[in-house]
Amino acid sequence: MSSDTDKSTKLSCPDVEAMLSGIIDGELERDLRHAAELHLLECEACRDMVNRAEQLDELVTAAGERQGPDALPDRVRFGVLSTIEREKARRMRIPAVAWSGWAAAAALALLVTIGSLTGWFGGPEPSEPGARLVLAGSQRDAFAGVRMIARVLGGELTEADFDALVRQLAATATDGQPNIVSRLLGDEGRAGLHNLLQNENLTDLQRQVLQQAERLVNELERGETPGQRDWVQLNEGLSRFQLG
Amino acid sequence: MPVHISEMELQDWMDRLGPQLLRLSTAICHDSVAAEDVVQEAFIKLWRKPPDGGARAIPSWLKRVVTNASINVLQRTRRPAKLPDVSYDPALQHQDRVDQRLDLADEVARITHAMDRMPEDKRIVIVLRVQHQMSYAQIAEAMGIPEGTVMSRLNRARKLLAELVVEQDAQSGRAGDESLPFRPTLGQER
Repeated sequence: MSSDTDKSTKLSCPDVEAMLSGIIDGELERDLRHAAELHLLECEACRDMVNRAEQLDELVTAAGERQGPDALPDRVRFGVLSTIEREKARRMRIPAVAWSGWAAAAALALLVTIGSLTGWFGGPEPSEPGARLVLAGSQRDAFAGVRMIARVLGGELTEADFDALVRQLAATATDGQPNIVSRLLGDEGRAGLHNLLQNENLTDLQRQVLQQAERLVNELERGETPGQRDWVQLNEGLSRFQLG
Repeated sequence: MPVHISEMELQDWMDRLGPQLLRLSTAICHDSVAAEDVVQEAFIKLWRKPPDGGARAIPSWLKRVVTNASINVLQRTRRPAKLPDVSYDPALQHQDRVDQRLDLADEVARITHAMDRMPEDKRIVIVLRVQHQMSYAQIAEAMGIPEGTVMSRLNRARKLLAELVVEQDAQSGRAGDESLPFRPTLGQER
């Protein structure tokens, strides 16, 4: 171990120990780094100290690499994307610019007209509000699957939906199905949706909504990408169903 | 001109940095569920308002956001110190002490256990620097401490970690203090 000498040119062992982290982290300024290197050249004890600290760091690094998953969990990914979709949907429906007076009234009227035509606001109001639909078996499962897809892609997931979604995705994680429809609905669910459309108790409005659901699901299955407005509209349509 | 991140780019950032950020948050707040929430919120923030400086600024920005949020989680749910517990691996107590050579998994378990016993401020500074390669300037900003304090805190943290490992080894019958990088006589502060 070297002895304390002129501090302007040489560092002592306690000096080096005090700046050990700066040395191994490469965070010393040039002059100090140079002085530390000179000291380490001639001091075996301090070289040993640096080596051991670096070995300790290697183990700390290895410990860090073993913490946590190798990939971002689905829960987080869907959490991010569904929040974004929800915000985008909100932005689409609420004009960002607040106008005043007649301009605002005119813009609102125009927006409502366009919205009604394009289905921004969920299409026409139900002609038979309160019509209760009793579903069972595969039809009920199909409805639940389609509703979940519409919520995910329409950007309106609740916390409970999330949990259900994660459970469903986890249950189907290894079946090799490539997309959310396959994983949430499956062949059985698609057949159930088709059967559901044959249900004699459907009102005209309910049938329209379910036809839209089938169309969007089929488009998705064909690799097409229906716009988010379609999903928002479907989601709103499905939300009006009252299941018995 | 406002910076914008498309969903495709966001997915790419989630693939590239998500696991690393999750490890960072888990290491700081010791709660994997809370860590997932922290990382999720960080990516949402990124989409809402990306940092100035373009793509190059994003990794360090995300690390800072995740570090801050994780420290907040830790402060909200401050756990009791684990200092009394030193028996980190019961199997070690019974193994043949002639053969003290441990594989990497055991070494990592030693370090992990010792880190769990450290005070939060010292553990976090080691996590940020050693496990996540943050610069002293980034650590200072993330932890809200002067940059000059980072090196001294890291020094104390590394010293304490080495001491805790030696202490554990002594408790579990492992010989010697050959892994202690600091001179035991220097610096008594924990």
